[in-house]
Amino acid sequence: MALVEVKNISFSYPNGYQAVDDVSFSIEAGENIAIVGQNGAGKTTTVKMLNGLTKPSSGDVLINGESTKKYTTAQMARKVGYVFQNPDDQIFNSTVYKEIEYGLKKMKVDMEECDRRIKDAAELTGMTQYLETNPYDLPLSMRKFVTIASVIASNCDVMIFDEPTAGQDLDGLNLLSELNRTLTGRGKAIVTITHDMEFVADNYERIIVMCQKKVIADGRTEDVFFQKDIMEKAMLKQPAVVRIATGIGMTENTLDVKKIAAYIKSHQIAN
Amino acid sequence: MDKKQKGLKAWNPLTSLYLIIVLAIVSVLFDYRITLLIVAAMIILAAVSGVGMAFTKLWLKSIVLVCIICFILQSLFIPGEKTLWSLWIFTVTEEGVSKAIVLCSRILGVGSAILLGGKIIDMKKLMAVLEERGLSPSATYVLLSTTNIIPQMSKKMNAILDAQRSRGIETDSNVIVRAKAFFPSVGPLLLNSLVSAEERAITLEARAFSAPCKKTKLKEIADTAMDKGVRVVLIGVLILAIGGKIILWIVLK
Amino acid sequence: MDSIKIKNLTYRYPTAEEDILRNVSLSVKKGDLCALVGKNGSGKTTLCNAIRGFVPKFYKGDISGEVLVNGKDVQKEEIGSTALEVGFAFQNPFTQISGIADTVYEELAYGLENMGVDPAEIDDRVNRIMKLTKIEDFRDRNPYQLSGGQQQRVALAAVLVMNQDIFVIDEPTSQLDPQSTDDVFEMIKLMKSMGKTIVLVEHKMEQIAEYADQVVVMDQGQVVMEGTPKEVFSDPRCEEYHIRLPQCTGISLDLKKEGISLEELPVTLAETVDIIRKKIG
Repeated sequence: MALVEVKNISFSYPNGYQAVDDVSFSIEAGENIAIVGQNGAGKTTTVKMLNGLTKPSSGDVLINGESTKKYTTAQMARKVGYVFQNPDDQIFNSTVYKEIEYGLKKMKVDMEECDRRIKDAAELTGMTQYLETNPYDLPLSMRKFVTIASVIASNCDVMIFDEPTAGQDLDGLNLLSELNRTLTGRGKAIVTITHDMEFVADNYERIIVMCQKKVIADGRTEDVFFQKDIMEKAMLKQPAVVRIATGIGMTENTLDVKKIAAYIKSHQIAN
Repeated sequence: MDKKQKGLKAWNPLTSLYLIIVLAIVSVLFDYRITLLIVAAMIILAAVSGVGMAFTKLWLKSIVLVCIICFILQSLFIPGEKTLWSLWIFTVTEEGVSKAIVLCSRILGVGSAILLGGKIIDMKKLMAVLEERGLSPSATYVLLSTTNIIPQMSKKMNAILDAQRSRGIETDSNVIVRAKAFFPSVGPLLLNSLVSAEERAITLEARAFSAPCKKTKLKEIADTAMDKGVRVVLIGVLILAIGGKIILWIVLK
Repeated sequence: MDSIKIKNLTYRYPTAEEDILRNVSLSVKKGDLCALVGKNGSGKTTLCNAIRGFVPKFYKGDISGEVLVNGKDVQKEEIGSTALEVGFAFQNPFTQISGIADTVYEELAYGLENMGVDPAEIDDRVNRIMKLTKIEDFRDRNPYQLSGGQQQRVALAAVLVMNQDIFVIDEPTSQLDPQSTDDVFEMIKLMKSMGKTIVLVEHKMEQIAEYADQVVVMDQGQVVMEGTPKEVFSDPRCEEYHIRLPQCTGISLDLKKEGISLEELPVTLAETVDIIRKKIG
């Protein structure tokens, strides 16, 4: 049984507007998945159904075999962590430490364990030196890491990151890819919504492409990125590595520059 | 682009504002019979302005309801000598009823006037006129933007509640649970508002809000001879009413 | 002619312990697009605010040095007067909606009303800019009902309609999806074609490589590199300053490491494919 089973979920707002239409996929422990697509494609509504924030109008989401329908969102927080797009929607404590601690206290984690987890989460998110800083004295891109640290500390099995790459510089992106690796290494499943295709090509083995409320592709990153029609339909740009490989006439789907180098070498010799 | 406005809505908003104020003051000056006449006039005015139904519905749901509740409470609980009616611990006295009538008449007059004003005066136009007459643009900005930004704040509140629920804070069960969620939900809302206020101040500067120019208005608001005439008449009515009231008062003494 | 000239600018925010800008000198030629890049916290946004005069007029703090915009010393001007010289837009689409306009049309007209433009001319200019920026479809919609990407375009149009010579645009696409990002860059291209001088902070290096005339790299409050996109991105010091490279440049560097000899480092896709194709015949 997979860690997360999404079974034919659809969602319509009370006013009749449909945001998600018959979406299914499953996620194993330790998987690192990117969800891509235009704004309005249904990405956020879909992941909100993973932690029960939005209950599907039809279909079901099972986490460890249990339906999200049985629990309130607050109860789900122990299983599925969610980092919101805008960190300012949740930050209100006076120090980074207290902000991370807040959710843990709600979950009644004991003091010692609490402190250990906070320090671990701070380490992963580069927050160690800012634990006593007021979050609002940090720039927005770093406040995002404060909220990521809160979710890491809650130690849930599934973590959802909604646009963590927005506004990040190279250091921020590197930090993000490192913490993704560490967390999946610990067996966590990570689902990331992002618009940064270069970051996706470098960091994710599997992607889910959403377009007009549906999943239109779900598979190995290189296989999906090389399907030009899918990418165009979803109004996404193929990352440069794909366009270069296609541009120079390679037929293999690869995101590996080494393979491109090998291809160039072999053709140089041939000519 | 503008639809043809009917009745009072076609007036200069300042004229409508004068009318609302005069109606409210006159109804407070005199007793309930005048108030009832004025309220009847208001319903007719709303009707000729094309908002008769909307006004009456809202009026019944708010002002009338408040008046009824006030009337009952006042007449039941104000003590007096002459008992009209009594049951168990409740006693309705003549003094109570007459005080209730006075209070309700005032609520009815002023409340209905404000409600009518809300229905027939375009705030944006009114602010433009007041700005022309020397009210500070900062004041009009605050008044106008507040009405637009409040619905946005409630949207924001929903986003914040979602975020807090997702980190294990219960927000929608009993009163105690909700009270506990107060800081996590109101905290970010206030902090957000502070950040937005700063950014919005920058936006206003970017839109030349404090540029050393005389501002213009896209829509010129007509101030016709009729408007000016009506305002003079209204001021006349107000003076007469106040004068009349004083004379009545002296005579009755 | 230089539209913007900054001389030895040093600045510190009121409560800060360190200078955020250190001895910055920079010139931007009229009609050029100057892209500011660098790590978060390196002073890009502060420099934008200094060009517009918000630093130090709005944020207070200690400043030394000079910022000349169209030859005028911004620090000596009133904050409101600089509005007539410099257009300004930033990251958050939502807070760039004025909050007092019921329609996109009124939102665009607002700046012109504040500038005291004649109503007939306002109508003319708003209509023309809405057409040029392709936002006519939203004309009568409430700005708050638009998506973030649409709001950002409205915000840019609302500034563009005021028709200053210089525009400072701070991270306009950070919160947008790829399609909206393209739309915003279409608008920036339009501004360029109108001869505007633009200072742009942006993390998306592909677009910078394509549109910028001048790239300025900032690090710890200083200007550390400056040149054309090609000069800057092919400079090995980019790594030192943790600058993300255009994807093609990064890939080309990796190819070099794999032993493919490339005489020059390309910054755009077309160039890259071209160079490799020539190699493989």
